[in-house]
Amino acid sequence: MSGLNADQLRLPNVAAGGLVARGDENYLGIIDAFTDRKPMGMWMKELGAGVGIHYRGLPVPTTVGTLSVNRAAGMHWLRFTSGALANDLAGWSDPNYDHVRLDEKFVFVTKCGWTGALTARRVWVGLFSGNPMLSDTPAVHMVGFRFSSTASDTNWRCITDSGTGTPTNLDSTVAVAVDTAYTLAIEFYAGTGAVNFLINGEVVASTSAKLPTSNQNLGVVAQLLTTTAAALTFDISHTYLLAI
Amino acid sequence: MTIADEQLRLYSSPWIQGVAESIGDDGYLGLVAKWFSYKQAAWLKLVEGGNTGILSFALPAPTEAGTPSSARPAGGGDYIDYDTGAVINTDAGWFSTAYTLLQPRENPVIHFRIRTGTDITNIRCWVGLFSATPMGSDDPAGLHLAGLRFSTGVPDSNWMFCTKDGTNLGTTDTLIAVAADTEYHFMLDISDPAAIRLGIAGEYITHRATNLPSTSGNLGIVSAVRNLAASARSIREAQIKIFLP
Repeated sequence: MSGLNADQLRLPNVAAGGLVARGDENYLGIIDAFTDRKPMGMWMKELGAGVGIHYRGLPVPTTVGTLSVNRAAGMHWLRFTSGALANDLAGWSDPNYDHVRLDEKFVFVTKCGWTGALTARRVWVGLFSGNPMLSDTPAVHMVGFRFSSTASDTNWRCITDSGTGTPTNLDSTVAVAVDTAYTLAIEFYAGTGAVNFLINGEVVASTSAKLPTSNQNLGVVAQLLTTTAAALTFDISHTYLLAI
Repeated sequence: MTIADEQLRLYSSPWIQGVAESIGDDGYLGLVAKWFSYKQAAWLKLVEGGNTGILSFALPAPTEAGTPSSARPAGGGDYIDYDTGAVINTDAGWFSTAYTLLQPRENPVIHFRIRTGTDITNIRCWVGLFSATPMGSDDPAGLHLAGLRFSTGVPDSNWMFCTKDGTNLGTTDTLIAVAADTEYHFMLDISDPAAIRLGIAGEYITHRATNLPSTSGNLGIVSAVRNLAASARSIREAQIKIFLP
């Protein structure tokens, strides 16, 4: 299913109600085909000068770090600033790691980025059965994006694991840069049996290896961890999670 | 344009690029824009006949001016009717509590769905983005703005597309006449802050490229009417939706 051009449409699983559109500026969305579909869950920075988080269809996120607003250069994002010790965190996550399962077809999206040097950090963005932040290869069930200086990552890595601690680790070939917005998406439709990783609307990796157990609860994590004693920032626009 | 069951249409207009609608057995099934890469926010009248409640979705609640009541006029529509009362120069409608919601460089696209009151004589109406309330003037001093104006004090007979850079007001006649008790759907597209585009009723109307608001200045939303005579006037608010990359 890779190789879609801009503004193409595909019908991945119409019988199950999935209709996905992609276009020039990223992943364009899913059209619900049935009225019994759950509404889209979301965490989103509220518009305006405040640091309020709008949440709908998901529990209130657990936030770590000091919140402020980044509206530089046309951004309209929440800024999470970590503490200045090693292993301090910045970002948001599911308090219970039970948002969705692979047997519930889903699309996960988080738009994020940061400023400052790329060294001394570990970033995980995706769906996890437990806290992944203290390791590059946590022994949890997961489908997520990783960027870790301790693993010498230069590109976003696309990671899946079924709790083994020896994950499938695919190169997205998308380099990580500062002052850059990334729309990171993960989609799973049971009919395909594969998880697709998308960055800025394009499929960058797809795998059916070491996927989480189908009935394993997974929760959203979009966090940065400091690997040295220096504060770092992590900017997030929003997280969406649509499950069937 | 009539759409039959199970058809899919793709808009190609550059100001709503990427929007797909599907219509199926259950009626209108969804509107998918760039939702997954875009933030969405809205003020929506709650869907319930006599209710004047507002759902504030991902932005602070509006400041309401005037006396609200539920309005469900013949022919359809579900609005909150805001009434000025009979004291001259009284405002009615929705206002941002703080004029810091958006900046042009954030490339917002904003949809407004309003309905004019049954009497549109002796009124000033502003709908759009403003750096402060514009209601006291047809050319509010010092403001940055992009929006629609209808003022009998000018006098306007059509909706006027206005922008202001803090000093100079620029106006473009939309040639869309303003009628009483009529619904209007406006769209301000600031995908390009150097050319702010206007849509009305789903059609691209025009753009303005001069006297534009500062790209990095804070703006808030106003959708309101002021009575310019000592009698009550009204505006009906249905929804305001914002899409932000």
